[in-house]
Amino acid sequence: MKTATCSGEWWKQRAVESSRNAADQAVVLEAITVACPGKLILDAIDLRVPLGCICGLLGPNGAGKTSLLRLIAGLLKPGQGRAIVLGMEIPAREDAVRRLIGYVPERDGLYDEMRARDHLEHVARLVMPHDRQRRQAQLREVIRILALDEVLDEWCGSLSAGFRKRVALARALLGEPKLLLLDEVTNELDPLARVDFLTWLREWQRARPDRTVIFATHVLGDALVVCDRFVVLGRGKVIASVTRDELKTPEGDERKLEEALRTLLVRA
Amino acid sequence: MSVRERTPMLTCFWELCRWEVARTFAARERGRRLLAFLVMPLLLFAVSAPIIPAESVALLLQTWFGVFVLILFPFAALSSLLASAVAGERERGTLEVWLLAPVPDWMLALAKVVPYWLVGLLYDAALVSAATGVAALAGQPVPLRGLLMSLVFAASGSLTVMALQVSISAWAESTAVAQQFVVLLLLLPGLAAFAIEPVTRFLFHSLDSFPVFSFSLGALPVMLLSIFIVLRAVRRDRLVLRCSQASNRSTRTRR
Repeated sequence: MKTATCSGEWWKQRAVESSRNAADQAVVLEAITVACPGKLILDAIDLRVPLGCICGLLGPNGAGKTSLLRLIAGLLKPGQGRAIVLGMEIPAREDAVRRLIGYVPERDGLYDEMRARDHLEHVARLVMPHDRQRRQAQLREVIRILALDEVLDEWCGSLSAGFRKRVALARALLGEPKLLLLDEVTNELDPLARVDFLTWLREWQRARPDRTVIFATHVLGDALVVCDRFVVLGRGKVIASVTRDELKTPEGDERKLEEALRTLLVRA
Repeated sequence: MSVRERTPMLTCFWELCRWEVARTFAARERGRRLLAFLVMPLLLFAVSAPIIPAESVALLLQTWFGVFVLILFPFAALSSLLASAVAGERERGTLEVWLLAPVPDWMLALAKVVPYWLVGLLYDAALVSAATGVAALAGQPVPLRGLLMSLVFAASGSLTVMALQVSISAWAESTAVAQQFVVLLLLLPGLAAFAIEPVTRFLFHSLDSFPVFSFSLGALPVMLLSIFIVLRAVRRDRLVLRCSQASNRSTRTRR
């Protein structure tokens, strides 16, 4: 089991080595610290997420999951440390990073007064301004894979929580993002919609092995269904970063997985 | 290369501006109210033209005070929207999605000011044209040069005020707080104008004989300063940090 530690500035010596093999990593964070007046939001985070996996970001409320996603999306600048997302350093190339990222925030980020179609067309115009044909093709594609035909012309304010999440997800998928950041997307979903969503996510990623998903949740069961890797956060620190295989018993039994993760979460 | 890597920024900027205007007028209640507020004076002009003596309309256009009332009207109407420009995004939970637009910070800030500014200016042009038309049709003297220059002055003045209003919205914790300060911002110049004697004289000065151009030129540094302030206020990391602080506070309150 790998446990993240941080002491002194040892990460600086590793910087050259890490930039060499950063090519196969979607996210490389080294001793990242983010603070706002009077509070440390992220405390010396050291994390690696390889390309082509679904990484679960687990932790109790206030652990720093959302802040970490915002940092990866280039919305927060690291106070200290080094962040490389999709091979590009943040904040130096944060504009380029933002173009390669799809992000679904916890509160879905939809405007109640606009239709689902308006949202999708707006984002499509932003990410593919001069490619009308490709824009139309991608709009059709996301509408098909998320089954949004029936709600396209409805006001977002009148949509159910499940459909709102689907519209938000469709918006994030436009422009073929290489890294998909999902923040507590299964909140407010009923049990059936939750299972549907998790199944869809698993299949979507399997069909596109070059895409990486970081899925922040505080629901252990959801992470266990879809994730290949688990990162446990607590009070702004990485408590553990482990793969599914590392958590299995030597016989390959997954039944103890939940127990092992629960132990880590208690530590968080 | 992914399609997301090739996004011309100017097109994105105009798309953000279009979205801002579309969203404003799409809101069923707010959009209708705003539309009614803006259409009403134009309708009043059209209806009252045969009743009100054209001399009165011409008189309105003779002094700065009259023209001020005309040109400030749309900007007063739009100020509540500007108060919620950034604070509203934070309250609705749309902040992150808005900040993910593939444009630099300064473009994001201007995309909150420019659409409302253009709407206000278009409306000003329509309102002043309507008043001018009524006076001209009745054969009354119209100070054309003065009116044109007053529009130039309105353009620079309104950009200054709107940039400051968006800055307040970015700084405020909520739309309600932002609205209090935005109203103050609108009232202060008016109060100052009537408190200072030379300004009162200026307000009732004949429109055609006042050195408007030099006055507008004097306002240029103030305009540039306000644009600088809004560019400093609307920065992604700053807004997201404020958002984190606010959510931490609300979590503590719930506990």
